[in-house]
Amino acid sequence: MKGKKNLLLMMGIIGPGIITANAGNDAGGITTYSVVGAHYGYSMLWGMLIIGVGLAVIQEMNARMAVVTGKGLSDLIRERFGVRWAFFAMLVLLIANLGVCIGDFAGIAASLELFNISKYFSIPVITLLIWVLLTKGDYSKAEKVFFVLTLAFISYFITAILVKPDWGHVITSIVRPQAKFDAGYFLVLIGMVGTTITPYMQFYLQSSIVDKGISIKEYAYEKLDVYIGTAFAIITALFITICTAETLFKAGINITYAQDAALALKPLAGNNSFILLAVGLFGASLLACCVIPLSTAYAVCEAFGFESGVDNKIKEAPVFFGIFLLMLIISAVVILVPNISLIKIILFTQQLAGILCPIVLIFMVKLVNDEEVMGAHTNTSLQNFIAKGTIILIVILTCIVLASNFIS
Amino acid sequence: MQVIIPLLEGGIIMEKLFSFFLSKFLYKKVRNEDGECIGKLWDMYVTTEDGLPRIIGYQIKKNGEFINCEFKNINFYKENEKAIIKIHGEREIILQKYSYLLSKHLLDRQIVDINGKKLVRVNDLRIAEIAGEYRVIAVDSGALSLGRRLGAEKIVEYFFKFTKKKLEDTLIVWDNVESLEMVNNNLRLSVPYKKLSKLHPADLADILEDMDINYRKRVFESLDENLAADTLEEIDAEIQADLLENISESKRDEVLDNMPNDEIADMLEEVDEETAERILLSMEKEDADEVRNLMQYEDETVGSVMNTDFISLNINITAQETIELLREMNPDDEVSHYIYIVDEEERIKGVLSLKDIVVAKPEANLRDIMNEDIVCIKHKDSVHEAIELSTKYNFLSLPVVDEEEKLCGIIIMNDIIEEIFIPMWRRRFRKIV
Repeated sequence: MKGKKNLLLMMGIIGPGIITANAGNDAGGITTYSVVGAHYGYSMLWGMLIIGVGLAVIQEMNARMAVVTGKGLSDLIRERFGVRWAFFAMLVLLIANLGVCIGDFAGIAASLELFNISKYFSIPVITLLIWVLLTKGDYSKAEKVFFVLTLAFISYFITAILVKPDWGHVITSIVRPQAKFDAGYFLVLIGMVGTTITPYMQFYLQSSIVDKGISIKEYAYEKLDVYIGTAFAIITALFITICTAETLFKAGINITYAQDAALALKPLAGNNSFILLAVGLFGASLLACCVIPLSTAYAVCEAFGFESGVDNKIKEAPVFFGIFLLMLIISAVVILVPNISLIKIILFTQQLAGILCPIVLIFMVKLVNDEEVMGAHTNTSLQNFIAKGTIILIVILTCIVLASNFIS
Repeated sequence: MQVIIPLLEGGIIMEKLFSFFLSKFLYKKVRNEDGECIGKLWDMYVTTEDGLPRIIGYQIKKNGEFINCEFKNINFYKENEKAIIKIHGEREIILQKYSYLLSKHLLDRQIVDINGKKLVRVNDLRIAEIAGEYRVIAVDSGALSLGRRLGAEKIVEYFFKFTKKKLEDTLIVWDNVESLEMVNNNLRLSVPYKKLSKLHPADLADILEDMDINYRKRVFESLDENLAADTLEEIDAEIQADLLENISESKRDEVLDNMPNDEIADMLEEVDEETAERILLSMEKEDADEVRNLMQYEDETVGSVMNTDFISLNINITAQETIELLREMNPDDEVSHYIYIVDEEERIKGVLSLKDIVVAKPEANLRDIMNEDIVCIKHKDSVHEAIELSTKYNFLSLPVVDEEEKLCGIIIMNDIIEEIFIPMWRRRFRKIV
């Protein structure tokens, strides 16, 4: 009986971590991991392991801050660093999130183009749909529908097993760092960081744990939730990479269009593989296109004390709805530019998020080590080592990319 | 408010300010009589012991070190929009007794605007000299103050001019402010959240819903049990559950003691099983059993909405005795519309309105004056039938009976609106625009 009760309690708490990790597998995630496998085979798997460890530690910091302080990340930044730093942090968040949002709009366009639906039709319709859904509709129901669509990505797991990769080789690639010294390699690596440790995820995760009102007594479960979520995110990334490495990389095909990425699922679905990719990509991108503008608007309003929440009328919360609408419109307009490469846009926005990510992480590390904020729950030295190490690694990667751009 | 005394010094006119915004002077250089910079103004200590927060000290940061000084012989000037702070002779002190630091503990934090009944963020503080002492007189939470803090006041002004919107006055007078930040146990505000307790429970509930869980818990625990119970009834179901799971056990028991059992039953359906069981075990057995019974009713049955606190009196007493009993019971407004009359077996026999009792002769027996033509409803009927009945006969509440015709509760129209219509209406007309 006791065990059953604990299980129930656990089920009640588990959620934010897994949902957030899953939200990371959006258009940016799928495309980046596909390119990682297709262009570089298994040679980037070591990075995935390091990013995974970093992600686990960082998300756990978010969860701990949420539980101990009961406050969102932008709330804490404003209160501890004052209005100017908060403004800076919000600007960074806004740019990074706008990028990711554009990437996900590109994901919607790309997925529907697989069904021969023109972006000039799909993007305006979807933009309107999102706006209506969040202002007038039943968003929580729609969210579940989108979520079900993303289950199409399970096909990556099945395919990865079907193609019978050399698992020994996969494992040695994970634990043995190797690098090709060309700018493209590091750029893709940065993109991988950006899409896995996306800045918006830190804000989103912390707020959703705060909203759940989890107390410090139940923290062990929340920690578990975060670790399971991270593991799931990294395993998904790994399987997508295996699929593309075994198919596209071996055949020497580079990904320039979404059709190319769909080839990775051919061993499972044959010529219909594009349907699986399109459905999953559509669901994941649509989900992200709702969540990202929403969480940005929440974070900014939280930091500056503006009225926020979808239950308000537009007149009552003009800044909140303004940010939301602006992000939708800018994203839609960028995607509607004729002849723009959707895949390149997706990859570029993830790289931008990767470059901006350390700024948010630095705020987090400072906050989580502040005894006035966290009391006895500051980081251990191992957690600090990993968190700071991750920041330093991203900064070094960014420097390499920038330097190689200047040289070439 | 602003008195200007021009001060001629080296040919430049400096205005001494008696009323200013904190952000104009925070982190600015502090100069002594000789014009030497002795550091930057970092913060100010205030005490809230006597009315408006009174500034009693200031903190200077010099070469990475903090110096605390007594708030004396310090003057604030303006010279062509430039802020100047001058002191003559600083006296270093160790502050024994203060409430909080303005910048560290108040600026950028959340406070409750009692008048506007909402949670706002402190963007700036208005300080003024009153009878020779500097005090915080108001809090600014508006967009303009945000612009000022960011050094972009002009841009915000232009923006408002451009959009032709009026820049609203966003100063909240200190009297209408309730600070949420209690620094730590030694520096506790003298009376926590005193002002909040003057709000209507429904307004207080709105504010609590906006707070983060820690503030919410602290504020809620500081309320007296009556107000806490009334407020808890008004709070969103999800947040109710949150509070119940997180507040201290002693507070929870106090609050639940003051709540009607039907409300408790509604709340317990939202919390997790383990907590619900713990709460039920801590209640008196009689109440707990009643709550358990109420929880078993299916949604939208009369039993799930009915109120179990009602007035039922024995058929054999007089009007005078009834009035005395009522005086003693002092029932809530919502249950005092009708008085139900029952026999020894608690079977319903008649009904009287409060008015009937008041106008009746004191010695009259209830049996003789009561209205025997009663409309009642079974506890397992659907609420829709209850709605039909009460609207047909224009009743504010209806008696509810069980299979043995025993009176087991009353159903109040207001509760039906709150539990059935409001959620339905909100779902249907999720208002935007």
